[in-house]
Amino acid sequence: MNATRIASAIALLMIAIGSFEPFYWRIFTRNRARFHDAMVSLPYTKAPGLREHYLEVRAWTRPGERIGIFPTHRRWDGGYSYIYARSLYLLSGREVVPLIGTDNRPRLDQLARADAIAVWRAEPEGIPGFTIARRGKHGMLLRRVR
Amino acid sequence: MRRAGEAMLIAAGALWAITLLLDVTGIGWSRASLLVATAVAAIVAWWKRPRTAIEPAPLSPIDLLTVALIAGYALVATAAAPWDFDYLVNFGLKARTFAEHGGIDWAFLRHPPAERAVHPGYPLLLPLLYADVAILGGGWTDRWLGLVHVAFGLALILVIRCEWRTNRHVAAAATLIVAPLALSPWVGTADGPLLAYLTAALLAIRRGSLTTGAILLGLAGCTKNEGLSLIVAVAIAMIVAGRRRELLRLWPALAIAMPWVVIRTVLGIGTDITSGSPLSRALARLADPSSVLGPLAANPIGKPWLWIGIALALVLHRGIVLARERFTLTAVLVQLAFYLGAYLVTPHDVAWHVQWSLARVVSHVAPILAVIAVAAILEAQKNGRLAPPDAASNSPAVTP
Repeated sequence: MNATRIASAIALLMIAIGSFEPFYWRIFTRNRARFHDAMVSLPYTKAPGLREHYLEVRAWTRPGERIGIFPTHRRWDGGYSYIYARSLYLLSGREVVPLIGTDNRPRLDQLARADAIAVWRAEPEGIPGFTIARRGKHGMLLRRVR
Repeated sequence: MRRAGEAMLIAAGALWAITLLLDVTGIGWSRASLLVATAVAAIVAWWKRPRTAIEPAPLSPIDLLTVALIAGYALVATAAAPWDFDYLVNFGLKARTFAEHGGIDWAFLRHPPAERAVHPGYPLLLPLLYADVAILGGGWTDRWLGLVHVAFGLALILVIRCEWRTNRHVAAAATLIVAPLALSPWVGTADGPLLAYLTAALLAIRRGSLTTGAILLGLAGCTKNEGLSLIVAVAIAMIVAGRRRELLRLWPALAIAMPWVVIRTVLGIGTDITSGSPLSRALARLADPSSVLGPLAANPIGKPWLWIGIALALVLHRGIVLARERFTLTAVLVQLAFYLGAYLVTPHDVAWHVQWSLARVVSHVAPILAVIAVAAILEAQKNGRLAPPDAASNSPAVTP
């Protein structure tokens, strides 16, 4: 066997090792129910209860309503973009609006347009024009007082 | 087997086209309209099917391992509804919004809630396939959408299985080696479908099946913006490979991919990569190359063993590769150059953009490079021989 043949065999072995996906084999031995639960909560691991909260907000609101996301985190890149981005899918059909901007300033224009405010893990004190409409395990929904 | 794989990929494209046409023609989305239109398309496809005899590719016991691998991937992909962030803010969000709207919500695309994340200008093939599940199911359901990705992976593996002109056991082993690269771990994003279309298109054009390749190429352009750049990359590669005369036969790629480009331009649906002044951003970064090269060097591109192995094989057998794979290799290199260009013009922070996309976009070209590398090794070892790139043959490449 010459050097090129040996090098070719090494290259083939490296490709095989490199492309190998152990998890596609390990899955046969994994607890499926536990893996399911882990994957369901994976996108929300940094915000415990956020998924359940948005599912409740979805049930409490109607399609077409404008829902502001309360700034539990006061900085856009300090957690707010995380909870805002994750509201879009679970609250689809509603118009979800951020209540702070990427510059971390309050978006009073969005607050003025909102029909309701989804509040996750916070107790906002007296937002003018809004009152607590529903309470859940991980948050609440404020509704505009008509 | 190859024809089955290509048929699956083209059928997904046909379903996308039907869903788009039902919307833009005003017929509307309903279970009945989708089923009737799909049935008509299926009858036409059956009527117009190639009449050449199909010889089944000889199977090997090793193929059972590939089947098990696909089954494992299916268990992963369907463990839950897709969980990727890009699914939640882009592909899945659009599909769910459209499904609940009862059609493509053009107002949502023109004025998305978070433009940077939602990417309103992305082609709609995957979101519309997801929406089809809702149309047929009578309401939005995301629990089994992972099966869409399993189908794309399976289709590509069927195509790859017929690419080796060698004995059935070696062909099966080579397929088993490459198969994991066809099963994208990014379930819920369009990267898996794109790599399937990209790889199948390049393999078809490489062996001279230009019409099939052009259709697959067009569908790549309907899957992600990177698919649009692939059309240009393929055209350049054909010129470099001395196949200039065949360029016009790629017209189906443009015919399939361009309508979405026209629609989004007419409706003013934005694409973030070209927003503002891309030229000034590119010039600024070219003046300071470390702003791009630094993040590229700092972020992993997937699996180092794979890339070293591919590079080693290509260098060792450069004679075979340069003689037979000039088209494929040029297409891949130009495509990678486009990816590099995207980092030069991105309106986002380059380090952030590279961190969250490099491994994914590089995965698009991993299967085709692995096929080229393994094929070159097999050729050199005299265990098998590649189909000549210009041999327009529909007969199975595998011999028993």
